[in-house]
Amino acid sequence: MKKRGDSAYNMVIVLALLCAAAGLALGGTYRVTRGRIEAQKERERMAALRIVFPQVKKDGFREVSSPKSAFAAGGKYHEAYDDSGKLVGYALEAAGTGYSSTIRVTVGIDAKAEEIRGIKITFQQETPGLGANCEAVEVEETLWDVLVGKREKTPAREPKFQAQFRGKNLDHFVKVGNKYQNIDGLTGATITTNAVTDAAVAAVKEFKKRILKSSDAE
Amino acid sequence: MSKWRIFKNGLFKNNPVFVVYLGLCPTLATSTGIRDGFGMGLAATFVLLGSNTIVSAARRIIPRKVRIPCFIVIIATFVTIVELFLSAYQPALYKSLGLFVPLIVVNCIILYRAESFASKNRVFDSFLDALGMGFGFTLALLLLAFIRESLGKGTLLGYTLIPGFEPAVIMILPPGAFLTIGLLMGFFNWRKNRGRTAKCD
Repeated sequence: MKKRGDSAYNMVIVLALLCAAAGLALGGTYRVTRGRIEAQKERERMAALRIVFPQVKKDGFREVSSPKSAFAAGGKYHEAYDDSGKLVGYALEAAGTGYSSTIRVTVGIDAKAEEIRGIKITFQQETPGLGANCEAVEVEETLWDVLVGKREKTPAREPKFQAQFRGKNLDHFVKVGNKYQNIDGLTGATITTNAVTDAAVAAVKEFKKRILKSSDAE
Repeated sequence: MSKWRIFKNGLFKNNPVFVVYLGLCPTLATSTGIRDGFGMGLAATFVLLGSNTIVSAARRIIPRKVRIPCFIVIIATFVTIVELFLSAYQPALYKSLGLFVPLIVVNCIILYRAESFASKNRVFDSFLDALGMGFGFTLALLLLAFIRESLGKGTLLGYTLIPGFEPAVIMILPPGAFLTIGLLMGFFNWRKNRGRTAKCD
């Protein structure tokens, strides 16, 4: 490193030039990657919707973003229409405080907001091996199977914990004390289990109250 | 030092994790699985290569008194570039590594090589040094991840090893990390020191 060039002038100039160069490099990289990053986010959003409503095609989802929907997480929800144009149900975003993170869930409900069609956890950072098992998928193939080449391309399975929410009526979710009677909890992770279930149930109840009751009253 | 020696230095003899004991935080946090460990190793290596090269190229114009801020700007820029490319092309890995991608900025290994080597050596030599140190870091991560994933999840690369095996979850939690790295360090030190008699003055 130069010793002579330690003047204040030199220090300022070099740092300024360096930061300018860094800014250019970062701006350029951002431009190059921005499209793909947006596409990724959209893909994840769509994937969550398709998982809770497998029978609905991509353009069957209509986003509702109005003052009426302001109560929902994210300020919006989706309406799901099947191929014949019939309203199949709604997709809501729910969020709940887990053990070590705020868990985000997409909840699919039927058109009357009485039955949960399915859930998809879209974000969690719970304890690996315990709460994080809410997203664990049972993989049947062993390493040996892969090495030997016995690999069947099985489609991605639904996480066991989330699959149990499919097609459950709201009154299935009975909570006695701190435990849901009909839900298979995660081993050693009551907080995570309850966070996900509470969030899903609360979102459905709130939705029913705000959206459906209000249209009844009109 | 020959070019080969410069590269080899960071692999075993001066392995940044097991000999110099640097970069332990990301090592412990991201070695829960081989996929994550390898991803972190490659990301850090890319940053090392970029920062070592630029620091070396600019070594005659960076004033001594502000060298650390300059190094940090360079390192942070490369880390952000890695972050953007990861979230664009490897979103699953990016989500998995989470907080530890931006934390590469403060990975001591990178600042260590910038200060002790790149700022005093030629560009190509610095590039080789970065490659060796980066690979050494990656090797350490892979070794730890191999042990922790197989014992703590019962899988390797996500595939089950022995069906029906109940893994020791502690291995993928912090205590397991410290246990593993501590035992490994002890082992490597024992190997290094055996046959040497203690100096008694």
